[in-house]
Parts: sequence; C-alpha cells; structure tokens
Amino acid sequence: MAIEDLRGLFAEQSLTFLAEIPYVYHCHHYNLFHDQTIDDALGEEEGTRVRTAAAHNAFRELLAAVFAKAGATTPAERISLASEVFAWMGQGRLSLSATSAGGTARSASLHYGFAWREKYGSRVKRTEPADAVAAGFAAAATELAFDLPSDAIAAVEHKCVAARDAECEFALTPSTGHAAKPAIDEATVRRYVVPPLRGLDEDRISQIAAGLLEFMRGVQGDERGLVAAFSVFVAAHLPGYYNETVYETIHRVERTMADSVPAIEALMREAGQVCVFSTFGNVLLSPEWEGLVGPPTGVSTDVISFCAAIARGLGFGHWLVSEYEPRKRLVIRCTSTYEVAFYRSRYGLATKPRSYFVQGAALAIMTLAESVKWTERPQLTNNFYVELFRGKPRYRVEQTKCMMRGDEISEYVVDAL
Amino acid sequence: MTTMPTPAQGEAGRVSLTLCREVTCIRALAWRCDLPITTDWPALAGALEAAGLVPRAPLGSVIRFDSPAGDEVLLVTATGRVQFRVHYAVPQHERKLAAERLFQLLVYAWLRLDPRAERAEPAPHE
Repeated sequence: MAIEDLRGLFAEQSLTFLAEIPYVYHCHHYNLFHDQTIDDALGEEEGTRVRTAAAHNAFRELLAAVFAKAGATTPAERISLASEVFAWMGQGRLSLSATSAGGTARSASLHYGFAWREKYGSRVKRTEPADAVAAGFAAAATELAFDLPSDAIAAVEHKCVAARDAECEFALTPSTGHAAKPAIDEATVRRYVVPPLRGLDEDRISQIAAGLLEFMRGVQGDERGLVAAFSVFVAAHLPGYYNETVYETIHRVERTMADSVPAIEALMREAGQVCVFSTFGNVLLSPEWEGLVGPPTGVSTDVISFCAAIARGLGFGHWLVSEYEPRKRLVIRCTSTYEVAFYRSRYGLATKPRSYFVQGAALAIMTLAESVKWTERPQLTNNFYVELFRGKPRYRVEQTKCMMRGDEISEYVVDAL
Repeated sequence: MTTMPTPAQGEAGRVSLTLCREVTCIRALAWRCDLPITTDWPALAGALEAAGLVPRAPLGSVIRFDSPAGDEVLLVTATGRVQFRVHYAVPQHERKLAAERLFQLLVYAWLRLDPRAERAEPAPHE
C-alpha cells in the first residue's frame, strides 16, 4: 500500500489524516521556534526530555495505525515502512538498525538538525542535539517493530548535524515500558468539531484552500527525506507532538512556577506569530501561489482571506474570518483546530482559553495585512520580523471563546492599540 | 545582487534580464528574474527541455522544471516571474554559481526563440 493512499481528509473542517491520525504541515522556522520555546520554559535538559517523549508518543500512534492499515507484521517490514513514512513526511531519511534489545539510528538529513544548521549554523555554535523528534520516532518504530510496550526503548541523540557532526546518531537502549494512552484518531477528532460556519469571503477562501490542499497532496520528502517548498523546509508533522509539548510544558509551569505563566504563554503565542510570518508569508510570496491565486495585491482584505485559506490548506482546521475592520479589528473564528481534540481527550475541559497557537496566528495575520507592503517584495528576514512584532505593539489579541473550555466555538479578537 | 549576460534589445520592447536574490531567499537558495509576459511560453518550455531540464506537471499558470542536479526552475506565465531554486544540498558558497548556470541556460533558451534577440546588446551591469 502506498503511503499517500493512507491519507484522509475531513474536507469541511480542513483537517488531514494519515492512517486516520491527524497531521499538519509546518515549516522549519516554526518547528525550530516551537522547540526552542519548550526549552526556554523548562530548561534544555527537561525540554529535550519532554520533546522526545512527545515525539515518541505521537509516532507510536501514527506508526501503529500505519502498520495495521498496511498489514506490516514482521520487524523488517515495519522498520522499513516506518523509515519510508518518516521520509515521506519530510522529517528526513533515518537509517534504523535495531533489535528488540535496542540498536542505533543515523541520518545526515533530518528536518530539524539540517534546517537548524541551514538557518543558524553560520552564526551560532550549538552543542546540544536538535532532533528530539527523530529520537522519539526511532524509539517508537523499534518498539512497534518488535511488539514492545510503550517506552520499552529509550532513544538518545549523541551526534547531530546541528552541532557540526557529519551525521546525526542515536543510541536505542532498553527502558521500562508502560501502557500507551489511547490514540487521538480521526474518530476522536470528529467528536470535538462543530458544524462549519461561513465567514467573510467564504467562497474565495474555500476555493483557494481546496487548491492548496490539493497542491499539498503532491508534497512529499525527496531522496533525503526532506521537503524544500515555498522557500522553506516543510514537514508533515503530528499535532500530538505540538500539543503534548505545549500543554505538558504549560501545565508544569502552572504547577511549579506560576509567576512565569504569562511569559510562557506569550512565548507559545509567539510561535503562532512565527508560523504566520514565516510559513504563510513565504507561501504568499511563492511562485506557486502566484500561479494558483495571483501576485500579491497589497489589499489587506486579500491578505486576511488568503491567510485563512492557507491555514485550511495546511490542515490547521476550519478558520474563518468573522469580522474585519481595516486597521481596527479582526475576529477569527474556528470550528475546528488541531489542538482541541488532544486537549479535551487528555486533560478534559480547560479552565481558560488555551489555543495559544491560533492566538498568535490571529495577531500576526492582522499585522501582515496592515503593516507589510506586499507589492514591494518584502524580505521576510529576522530583522523584518523583529521590526513588525517586537517594536511598539500595534495590536493585541484576546481569545474570547475556546472549544477547549467547552465554548461552542473558538474565537480570537484582534484590536488596534 | 549579481549580474549575468544580459540581453538588451533596442528602443521599443527593450528587455533587461537580471538575476537577483528572490524576496524569500534563505541562504541564497532562491533566485529570480522576470521575462516579458508576452514570451512564447510553450516554445520556451520546449527549449528548456531540449537544454536538459526535466518538465514536471504544471501548477496553474506555473511551468515547472527540475535540473539533473535537483535544482528547480519555475516559470509563472501569468506574470513573467522566473524562480531558480538551487538544491539545498549545494554548499552555500556554490549556490550563487549554481543559480547563475540556471539563469544562463534560461537566457540562452529565451534568446534563441525571440526574434528581437538579433538586436540584443549588452546592458550595463547592475
């Protein structure tokens, strides 16, 4: 069975699945920022542990579902298929050599390590490995290949391309297993959406989103297992990874360092900003977008509609533009996001709005619409990011409704300051 | 910004082709030039294929090619934009040269099919 045949689409909610496990697309700017946020909140050592555990759990869910759907039963079949899935996702091509007692894994091209070196390598010296996601994947693949319980294998990256090693290398060793939590699959996700609503400019947004979803269906890792598209490295990724890292981190900070919660929440929001600035911005400036939709017009209503379409096209859920008053107010609503099902299933009802990613994304959409001169071919550099988002604030965002809290919809209000 | 053999045509319809870094360029991976939208795109596509580029399925009004080395060339026929994407595995210090090779290939293919090219003369380097 071809991997692409395992894809599924919940079209009216713009949610995508692989073997009925949710997946989305994010770029390396967001992925690196997300991981850095977790480390900033918890410290490097604990951050790495949380990220590795989250990847481990998320890939156990995915690979178990893939193996079942593909009828892969032998260890060799499963390891081979797991490596192909990882490469197909754009996460890199990992060579896995393992038995039920552990083993090794290596790669010269992993999404995180390779992209980190590309982005920062000439300016920053890094000593800690960058590939917790690949470590978690390698552990999960080994466990499932040999029918071992969850966490029976631990993976540690001891060489990393980001730290100027020629290859990334991982050691896989026996550990203490435990029962896995139930998977957050398509059936679970469908329990936590509400019927889609129409927003402003709905017909155009739906049409563009459908075109982008179709384009993304053709995106897959190359011979190195990487995807270079829209002038960024793109990877199909598991919401389970993003959600577990974010919410385990924020809950832990709430329990142990309550004074730090606002700062950590701000960082989580900023990850959403980085996503919109880098991923959405690069999509809007790409030749592919120009061919599908047209060149940037600089009209703010266009930018806002296009961003809603991009969110849907990347599998983020049904984002709609509820209100927009130029330079004053933007209201984004979601009838589904990739966060809600995870949170409600794992933690129950939230006590406050928790959709940090979309909060930051909504603020960034308003900023891109109002403050970027799209027709002048802006350079989406770090300096420009700092100028837009770290100077005097122009807008503020408030999440006024949250499906994680039990509200009927999620709503994000951006107001001018 | 870099310069390359630049076809320039006489007074009317003067065209200047310049290779420059793409607006979204990260570490010199993406480069750009702009062709007249009146270009005979099917003929140019044929010339590029004859020159060794491998066509991929078009995307809307975007004609796409891969080079044997894994680079990409994208032609947006609706706007004339051309993007050269150097393969990410090319070392950073060699990316500009790789982009210049792709640009040269495009320019020569374009010159061969444009009758005005007979009057082409070098344009000042930018």
